[in-house]
Amino acid sequence: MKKILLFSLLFIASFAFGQSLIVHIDAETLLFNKSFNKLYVAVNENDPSYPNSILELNPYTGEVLRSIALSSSLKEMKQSGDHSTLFFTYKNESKLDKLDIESFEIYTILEVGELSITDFHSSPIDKDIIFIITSDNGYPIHVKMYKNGVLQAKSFQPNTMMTEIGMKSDGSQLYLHNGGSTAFDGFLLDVVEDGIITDSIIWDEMIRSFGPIKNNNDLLYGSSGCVIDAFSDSIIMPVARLEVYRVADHNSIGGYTFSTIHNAYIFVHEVNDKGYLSFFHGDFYNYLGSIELATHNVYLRELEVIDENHFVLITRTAKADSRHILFFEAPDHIKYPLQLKVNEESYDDRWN
Amino acid sequence: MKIKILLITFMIMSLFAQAQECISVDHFSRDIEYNHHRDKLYALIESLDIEFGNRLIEIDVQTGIIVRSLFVGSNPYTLHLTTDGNYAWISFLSIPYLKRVNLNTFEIDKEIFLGFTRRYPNDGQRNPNIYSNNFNVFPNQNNMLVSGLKTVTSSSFESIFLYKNDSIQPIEITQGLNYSYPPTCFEPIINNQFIIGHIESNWESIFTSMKVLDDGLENFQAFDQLNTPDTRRNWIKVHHDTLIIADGTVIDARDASDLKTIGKCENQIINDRYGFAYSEFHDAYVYPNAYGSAVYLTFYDKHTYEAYDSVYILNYPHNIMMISQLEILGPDKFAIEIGKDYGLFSIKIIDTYANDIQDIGFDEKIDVYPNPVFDVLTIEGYPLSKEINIYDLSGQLLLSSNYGGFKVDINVESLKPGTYILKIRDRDSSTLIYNQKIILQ
Repeated sequence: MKKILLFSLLFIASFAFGQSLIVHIDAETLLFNKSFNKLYVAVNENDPSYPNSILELNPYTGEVLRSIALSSSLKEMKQSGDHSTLFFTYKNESKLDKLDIESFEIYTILEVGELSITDFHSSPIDKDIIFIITSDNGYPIHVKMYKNGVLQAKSFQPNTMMTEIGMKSDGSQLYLHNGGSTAFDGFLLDVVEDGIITDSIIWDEMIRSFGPIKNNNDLLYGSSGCVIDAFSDSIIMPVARLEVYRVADHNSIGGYTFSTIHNAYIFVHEVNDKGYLSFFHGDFYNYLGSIELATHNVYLRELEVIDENHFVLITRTAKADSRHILFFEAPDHIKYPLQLKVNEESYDDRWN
Repeated sequence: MKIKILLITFMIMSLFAQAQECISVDHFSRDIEYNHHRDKLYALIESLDIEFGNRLIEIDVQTGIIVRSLFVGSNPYTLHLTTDGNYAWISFLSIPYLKRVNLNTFEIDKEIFLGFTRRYPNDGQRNPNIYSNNFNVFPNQNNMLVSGLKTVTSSSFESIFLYKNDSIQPIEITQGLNYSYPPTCFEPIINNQFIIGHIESNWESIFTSMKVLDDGLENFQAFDQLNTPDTRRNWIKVHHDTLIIADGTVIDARDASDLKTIGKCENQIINDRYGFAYSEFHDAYVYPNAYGSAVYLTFYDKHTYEAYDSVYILNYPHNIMMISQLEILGPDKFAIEIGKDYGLFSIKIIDTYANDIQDIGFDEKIDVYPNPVFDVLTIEGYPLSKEINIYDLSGQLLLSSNYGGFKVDINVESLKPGTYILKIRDRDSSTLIYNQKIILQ
């Protein structure tokens, strides 16, 4: 009888929490490339095995398949619209490089001298067109367009801090936003043959968003759960507010992504030092439920969806100083087994 | 003997179980309104609801079954049905729209975009997006409403506007809205010629009268002496040209330039339990009251404002409970939206047809203390029992007192030390609901 009970408890536990695999690589950022079906990881300088490297990993087992050393620590990594190329910037170097995934070779695309590259985005329709935000210790800020590494004539100088670039899927417009402060302002820019132009500044409290801007086709979204339509009209429209802040601990939202597989916006966050994936409907924006991550985490960031049940993120446990990669297999047969309690204090705090 | 006790206990339990019928609609509700034309309850569902989040749902009030649902937009906030019951107007927290749902087709048939002032090319001006946090539909009009436009983070308002003939009318109220407590709730009065605005604060008490013009609104008069201390979210309600406030205050608004407080329903709304209503079925004001975890609806005479009846509706286990909405479905049927403050709310449909007060264990709901007593005896509990009598052991009536609320203090200093009988009878003085010895020291 006791055996049956024990077995039942074990079964319930694995059913509710899923399974996880931790790979001890000190990762700065990661990307899943669906064309190659591989995970690409930028590794920090302190990692004992692969310092300052980009690794190609099996997205299910974490096995390192290929690696390439970088000249210094990587800052940010994105992939081209056709998934053939990785672009990345460095923490201490003023250049943008690319990695051709097929050949696994690195090329420098552009250098900006003494300036720093705050953010960049490749055109979704032409990977040789790159947009960058540069700054000189914060100001002045310039937004520039490069074609095949050549700076184009028309650039834009915003009069306030801008840290993030969002991009229309046809490559015709950019949306600039400040993802690093409490500001609400943004810019809409048109892409022309020889650069970028704008006629608008937007100050809009309903489109506020922290952190990197991400795309769900032509909808943009950020870590605060704000979904906006920046491109379908001449004005930017708030479309929805995903209320993840009402189920997550304050400031604990790490990675987030829109998953076409789930037709859901997925956020990784903490509640009482436990990690969760929380899902929000892709069309109706309501909460769908959460899955508890099968590990104890204090630091969660990045999130890549491999398939319906497999997720990869960067995490750090309470005792470890370095980050590592968590390969999480969600419980089968049931999508979102948990309904998290509402953080009642968040009610009045929804816009803060 | 044991069998007898068991049988009696079982009978009492059965009676209690039949005292009222409560259907729970376990979805996170943001606002509800009953449509008596269709005999359906309509509810806006919070985005955190897994099944019906961000939807308008139509509920069969007999069964609690959700008949139809419609995605209306992100974070729907306020619901108002038109008088004829054919349309539902909805405001939102996260998108700059008011939307109308045709309840015949159950489709959105009209959208009012509220972001019309948002963009200022080239000049660097900053221009907040705005949303309608509160609005109201004019009686007997399907396409005419008044709404405030509010920024997301500021308490100040952009404007208060009139919408009719499919457009926002050009003359808006924009002056005087930047003080701390601008009007946020709007009630059309006097044949739709005026609108009474009221703040959502429990600190200030400022009413604003606005005149309805052909092409907009104009400020008419502000009142700040009406002393209504608690008028948060659930604002004002209107019966003809009488305004009813959450704290029980009743205001005569027949002269929009001279609002007069004419009475007060002395309810004991605790912790912001502020769903209330005027009931056509009872021709009375109805307020929720609670004692411990037992929740009651109390009826107040519309002329004297005195409580004359009270029905038990349910037990609610949380300490900080709030009934945010009350809808009267029939003489014995009510719908409430209930939950914890700042938490999530759900809907309950309660049929009190069998809720005879004898069915309730009153002794458990009345506290009499101290006992023994020296000078003042305090009685606290089941509301509005009409008569409290103290007898000596020979049955002679010595003290009598009326009991109109939850708590009453009776001075017993005039009585000699000894043993007495305290009896409390219900509202008609016909049924004994409390019978206890008290000792006077």
